[in-house]
Amino acid sequence: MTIADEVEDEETLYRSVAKDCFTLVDGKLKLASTAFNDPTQKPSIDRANLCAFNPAHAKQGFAHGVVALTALSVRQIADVIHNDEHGQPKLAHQIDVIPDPIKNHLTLPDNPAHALIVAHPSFANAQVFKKLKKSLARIASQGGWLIAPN
Amino acid sequence: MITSTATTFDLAFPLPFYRQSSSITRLAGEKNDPYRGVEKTAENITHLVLLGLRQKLTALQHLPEDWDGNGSVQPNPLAIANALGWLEEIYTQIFEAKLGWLAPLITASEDGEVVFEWWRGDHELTLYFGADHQAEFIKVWGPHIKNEMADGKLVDPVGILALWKWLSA
Repeated sequence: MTIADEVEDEETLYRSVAKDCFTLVDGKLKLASTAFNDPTQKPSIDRANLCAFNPAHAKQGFAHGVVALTALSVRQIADVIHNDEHGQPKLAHQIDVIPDPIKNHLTLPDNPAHALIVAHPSFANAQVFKKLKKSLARIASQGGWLIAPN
Repeated sequence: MITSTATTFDLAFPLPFYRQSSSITRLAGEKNDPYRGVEKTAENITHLVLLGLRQKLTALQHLPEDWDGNGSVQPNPLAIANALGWLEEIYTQIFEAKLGWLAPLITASEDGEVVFEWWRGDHELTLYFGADHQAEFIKVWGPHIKNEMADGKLVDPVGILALWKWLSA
């Protein structure tokens, strides 16, 4: 793997947010945890430096908004612990951002900026992923909208 | 004997006519029971407060597959029905405990669960409603998953009020 294939800590990552997945509380943006929904438990983001720092590139739908977070802030999500049935810590996960460029996909357009937020090891159930989504939503909310939803 | 230390106002003082008035109260019956009017008013308030939220929940069933562009499935109709029932229960518990109500943000998870979320200061409360009449919660008071988040099953009614008081703290 070349250095260019790694996502650097300081890289800005764009996330497309569906128009119903946010609210304003005391004038501040609050993203729902569902803004980071993903059936594979690997939320998609676009690397800003590979899409000409154009947040519009990341929009998944006309009415979507776009927020940003850094790779470092994602990697600093620590202590993602999966507990056993007795509530005892069983497994610790490391959160990472990995490149996942899309090319010659059957249904998706080419997207060299595409990347994934992943956990090592992968989550065994949905409960831990729900907490990760909460953490991602808090981080991404801090910067407000880069592009507000229509 | 009931005593009250609350401040009282003798509104009749400047109105001597009323100080000397008398009244006749008919025994309350089924048709003029004043408490029935109070109950009906409470029902109407509940209906109005929850009307918009019920409509939002019902509207979830019209979301298509991949409604968010991230591959999320269509919200499960059984989860929507479950959430409707819990909404009524949650509001009733909070109303009867005379705690302040706050409408949730209503969305859906990638697996078709219905999701309620509230924010108050640094406290966040998220409820998940699946198709199996169960409800789960996640409390968040900071970014650290291990030390600043807690989760569990929602146990009615004690669980609802405990979570609400925590959210409002």
